Amino acid sequence: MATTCARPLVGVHVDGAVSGVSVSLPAVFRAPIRPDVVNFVHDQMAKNTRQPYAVNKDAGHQTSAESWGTGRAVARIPRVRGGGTHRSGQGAFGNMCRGGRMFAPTKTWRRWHRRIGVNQKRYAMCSAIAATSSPALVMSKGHMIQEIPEIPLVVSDKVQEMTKTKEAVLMLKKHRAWTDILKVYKSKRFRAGKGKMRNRRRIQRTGPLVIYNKDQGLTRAFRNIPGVDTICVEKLNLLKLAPGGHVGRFCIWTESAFRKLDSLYGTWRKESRKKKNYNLPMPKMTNTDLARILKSDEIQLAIRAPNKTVIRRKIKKNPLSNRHALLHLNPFARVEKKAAILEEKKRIEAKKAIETKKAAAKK
Amino acid sequence: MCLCCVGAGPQHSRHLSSCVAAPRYCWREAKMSADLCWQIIRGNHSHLLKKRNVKKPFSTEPNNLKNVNSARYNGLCKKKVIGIEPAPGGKGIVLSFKTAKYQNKPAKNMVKTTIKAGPRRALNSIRRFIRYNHYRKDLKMASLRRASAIFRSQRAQPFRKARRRTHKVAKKTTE
Repeated sequence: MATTCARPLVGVHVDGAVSGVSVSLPAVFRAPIRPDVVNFVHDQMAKNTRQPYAVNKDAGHQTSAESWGTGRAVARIPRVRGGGTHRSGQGAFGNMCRGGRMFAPTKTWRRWHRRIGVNQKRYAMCSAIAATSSPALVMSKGHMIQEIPEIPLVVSDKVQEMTKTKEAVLMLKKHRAWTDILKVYKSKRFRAGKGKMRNRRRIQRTGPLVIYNKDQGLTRAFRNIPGVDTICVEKLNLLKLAPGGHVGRFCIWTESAFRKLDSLYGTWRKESRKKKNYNLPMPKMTNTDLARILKSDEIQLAIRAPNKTVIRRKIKKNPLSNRHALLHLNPFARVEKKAAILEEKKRIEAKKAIETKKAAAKK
Repeated sequence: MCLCCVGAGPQHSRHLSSCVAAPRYCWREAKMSADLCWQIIRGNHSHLLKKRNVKKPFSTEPNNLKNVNSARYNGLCKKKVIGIEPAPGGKGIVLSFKTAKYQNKPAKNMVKTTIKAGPRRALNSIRRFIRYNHYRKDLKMASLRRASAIFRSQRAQPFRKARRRTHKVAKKTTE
């Protein structure tokens, strides 16, 4: 019986069935998932492929315009000199003028790129990898993984040697990953907006990411399948693992790539072998299962019993019109009222007696 | 004492003795919990549906009984989840639920049973399933209502004679 923490085993899948081989889950998959860090780092990283744009530095200034000053019944904007053409006398230089320079002309020396600390980048990377192991997160991203045998999906190394797209398609179909690609096919459409004219005409969803250790043909086999990206373990890219800044991309790992993760990122007990002095990030909260924590003995012994009495709003009844309300306030009212009723009865009978006497006397 | 072992229960006690110096992060227990998942997802996920002038967002994921974006009804995050959908034939419903095992194996995780019986029996079997398995009894009413709504939609529509619109001709008064 192992006394160390038992690591869950992940089965390696071959041809859609589980081969006997299993790999213990690399520790990266239990790193803290921080979508805020991932989002921030993704934002910064995405800026690094930008190409500068700027307006021509002379634009709007290639005139010798001068203001006509006051006293000429025109606005004081600088006006183009000379004559003989429509242009003469027109306003120039201002951002409000036709043919003038824009406000704050864009410059090429804008700060296009961003630097991100190495540790922060690695933190984001670990979070993104950890998120790919949660079926809930991957499904929430929209990937169709309902039929997949296991997450994380680890596939035998034979995939790395594939050269034909046909084989790649077959592999995806056998592992029930093809539905995700069908979704990509369905999502092919034209971009809304001006991007159409700017060489960004077509858009589609992202599909699975195939992560390999050694490319022996794999990239060429998968490159024509829409939505599929391929990437080497040693060069994992946050922009591919968390596209859009959102965690939970559907990843397909080859066995050797999967095994390499422990040496790349370390386990908490051991440092990473490939990254100098690096170990996995420490979580702020080791046990995030709130329900479990609340039911635990430590907390149950410390809290008081729940207060389940419901106090509802009480409608005030008017004692002048509601007998029970009156009696609640003044119990003697019962006696008073009874006495009053008896008194009334007596008087009525007395009156009746007098009247019968009167009638008899008349006769 | 290992920081993560709060609420772990007796089977973790052997681990306690071997977990040497605190704070050491033991990640066996540190799985993805439903609460963490919900916190990540609640603001933004692919099934979220926000519309103008609608305060509470809807959610279109498959096992959501009310199609509402909330922690209780979410069909992805939780360990136990109930889904009720109309059966493909047009009669009956399909009750699907997550098994306790195979939480990381989506193909085996969901169990689907078709209930072809009439509405009363079907509602009863749903009620019993929830009650006697202690399976998400907070979803009982929602699942019964959803099943009822499905059955109501599957009822035969009453025959309505096609009405023709006739013009009312004005009566001419004779002298």
